[in-house]
Amino acid sequence: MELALRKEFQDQLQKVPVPQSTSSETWRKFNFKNFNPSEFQKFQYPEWTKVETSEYSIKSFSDLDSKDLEFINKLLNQESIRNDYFSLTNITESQSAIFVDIKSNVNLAEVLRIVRSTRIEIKGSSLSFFPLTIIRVGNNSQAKITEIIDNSSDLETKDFTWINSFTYIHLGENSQLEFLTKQDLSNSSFHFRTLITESLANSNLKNNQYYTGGFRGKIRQTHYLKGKGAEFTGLGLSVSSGREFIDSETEVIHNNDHTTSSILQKTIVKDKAHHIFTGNLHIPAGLKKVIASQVNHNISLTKSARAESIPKLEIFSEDVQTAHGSTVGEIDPEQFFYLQTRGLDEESAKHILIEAFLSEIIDQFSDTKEAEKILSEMKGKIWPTKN
Amino acid sequence: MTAILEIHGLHAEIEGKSILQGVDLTINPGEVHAIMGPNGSGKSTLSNIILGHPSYKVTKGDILFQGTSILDKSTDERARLGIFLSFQYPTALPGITIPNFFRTVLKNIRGKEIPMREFKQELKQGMKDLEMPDAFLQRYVNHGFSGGEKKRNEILQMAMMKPLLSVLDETDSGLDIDALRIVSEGIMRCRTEQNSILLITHYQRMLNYVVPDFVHIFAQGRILETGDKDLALKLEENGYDWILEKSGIKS
Repeated sequence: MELALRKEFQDQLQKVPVPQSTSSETWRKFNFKNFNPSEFQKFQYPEWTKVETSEYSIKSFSDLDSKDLEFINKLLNQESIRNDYFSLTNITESQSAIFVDIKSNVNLAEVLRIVRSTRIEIKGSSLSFFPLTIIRVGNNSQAKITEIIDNSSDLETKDFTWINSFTYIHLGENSQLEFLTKQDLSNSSFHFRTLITESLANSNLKNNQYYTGGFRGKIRQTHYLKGKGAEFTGLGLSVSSGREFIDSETEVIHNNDHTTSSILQKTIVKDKAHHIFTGNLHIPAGLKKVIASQVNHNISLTKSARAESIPKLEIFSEDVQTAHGSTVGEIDPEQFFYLQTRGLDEESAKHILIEAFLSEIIDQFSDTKEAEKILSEMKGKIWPTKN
Repeated sequence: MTAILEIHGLHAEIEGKSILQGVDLTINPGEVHAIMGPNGSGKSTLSNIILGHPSYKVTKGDILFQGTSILDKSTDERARLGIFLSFQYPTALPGITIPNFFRTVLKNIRGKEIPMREFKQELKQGMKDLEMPDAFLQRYVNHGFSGGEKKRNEILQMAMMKPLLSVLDETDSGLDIDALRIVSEGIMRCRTEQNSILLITHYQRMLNYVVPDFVHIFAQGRILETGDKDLALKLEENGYDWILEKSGIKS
C-alpha cells in the first residue's frame, strides 16, 4: 500500500520552489550557492527489515496496513509541511520511510537504535538521501530511541551530497520518550533536517540532539506541547570546524495550560566554522501556569570562527514563568583561573573546561553507549592530534 | 629559617587603578596570620595577586615564596609550589564531577597519578571529616552548591592538596554556626609546623577556632597595624574608625 498523501504532495511540490535566502526569515542566513537539487541522483537505500514484537514494531511504509497509513496521512497533512520544499521533497522522494510504533502501556528497557547511514561506496557522483521516520508512542508508555544519520564515511567524495531528513514524533498521553538524534556528516554534504514533535497530555519528551560535520546545513525543529501538563526538554550539542556552516532553528509552541519547556543548546566552533542558533518560543494568550526556559551557550575556540545566538520569544499569556540566557565567547576566565590555582596549566585547564562544557549535556543522555562515542568523536574533532 | 612568604613594598593596580599601596608582610612556617579590614580595602586583591591573577598588575615590590621571587611564575606554577587560595566566591564548574576534579587536581599538584583505591579512600575520608554526604560525589564542582557547601569543598581541596601556604579569603562568609565550626576544624586539621595560613576576614568569629599568631589591619591597600589575637577582639568591640583616624585616613 502507499501513503495517499504522497501523490498529492508530488503535485504540490511543483508549486513550491526551492527556497532562497530572500524567501523568508527562516532562510535569511542560509547560502544556497551551489545547491542545485536537480543535479543529485537518488541514493537507493535498501528496504528496511521489518521488526515486530509484542511491544513495538518498525516497518517500511510498504508493510503498513491502511489504519497506520491513515494515521500517518493525518499527521503529515499540515499546512506548514504542505508549503515547505524540504518536507515535501522528503515525503515524496523517500524510499526508506519507516514507521516506529511503540504500543500503549509498555515500558521499553532497551534503546531502539535507527541507523540511517548511507555508507556511500559509489564515488564520483552527487547523491541525495531522504530518510523519513515517523514515530508513534502510545499512551502510558516509556521508550528511548536513537536515530543516527551518518554519511561521515564519505570523506573522500569530492561531489556534493544532499541529506534531507524528516522525522515526526507523536507522543501519547502520560508517555515518556527520550529521543536522541545523532547526525554526523561528511564535509561535502548539504543537509536539511526537519524534526516535528507533538506531545499529548502529561507526556514527557526529552529531545537530545548532537550534530556535527556537513558543508552547509539547516536544522529545523518544531515542538508542539498540545496536551495539558506536557513537558519538553531539549538538549542540543554541536561541534563545528573547518568551514562548516550550520543554521539551527528551534521552535517551541505551548498549546495548553501547565505545559513546561526547557532548551539548553551548547555549541563549539573552531577554525572558520559558523553556527547560528535561533530559539523561537511561542506562548499564545490565555494559557495558565506555563513554564519555559531557553539557554544557549557558545564557545569560540578561534577568532575566525563565528557563533550567533538569536532568541525570539513571543509570550502573550500572563501566567508564565520564563527564563532566557545566552553567552557567546571564549572560555570563562574565572573558571580558567580557578583551575590554574589548582595546579592545572593553561592547556590542561582549557582541555578540562571544554570537556566539561560538553559533558554537562552528554551526561544527561541515557543512551550511554552513544554518549561515550559522541564525546570521543567531539574530542577528536576539537583536538585532532590528541585522539 | 626561611620564611614561607615575604611581601616587600608591594604596589599593584587593576586597569590603571592603584589597589595595593606598599604591602609588607612576612609569614614563617607554622604561623597563622589574619588580615582584617573594611570592605574595599584591597584584602581580596592581595590574595588574588599572591596567586598571580592576570587582571592585576604588580607595579612595584616583590613576593617571595620560600626565599624566591614568584612574580614571574604563572598561577599554576605557584599552586604547584604549594600556594593555595580558598576563594570567597568559588566559581561553578558545570560538567566536572567532584571525583574527576580531585583526581585531575591531585595528579597536577603531586606530579603523578594516584592509584584509584588510594584516591577513593582519601577523598571519602576528607569528605567524612567535613561532614559532606556521599551524594557530593555525583555533583558538579560548586554547581548549585549552597554557600556552606562551597566553603566545605574549598577546605576539602586544602586538606587534599596539602599546601605550604593557604590563603583563605573570607572562608567564614555565608556559614552558619555549625558549618563555621566544621570548616574551622577542617582548617585546623591541616595545620602542621611546616605550613602556614593567611586568613582574610571581616569578623572575629572564625578566629575563635583558627587562632592567629598575628592580626593585621588592612585599609587603603596597605597594613596599618599589626598585633596579636587581642587586636581582633578590639576591632570587634570598637570597629575600624579608631585605627583609620589614627592612621590619618579618616578624620
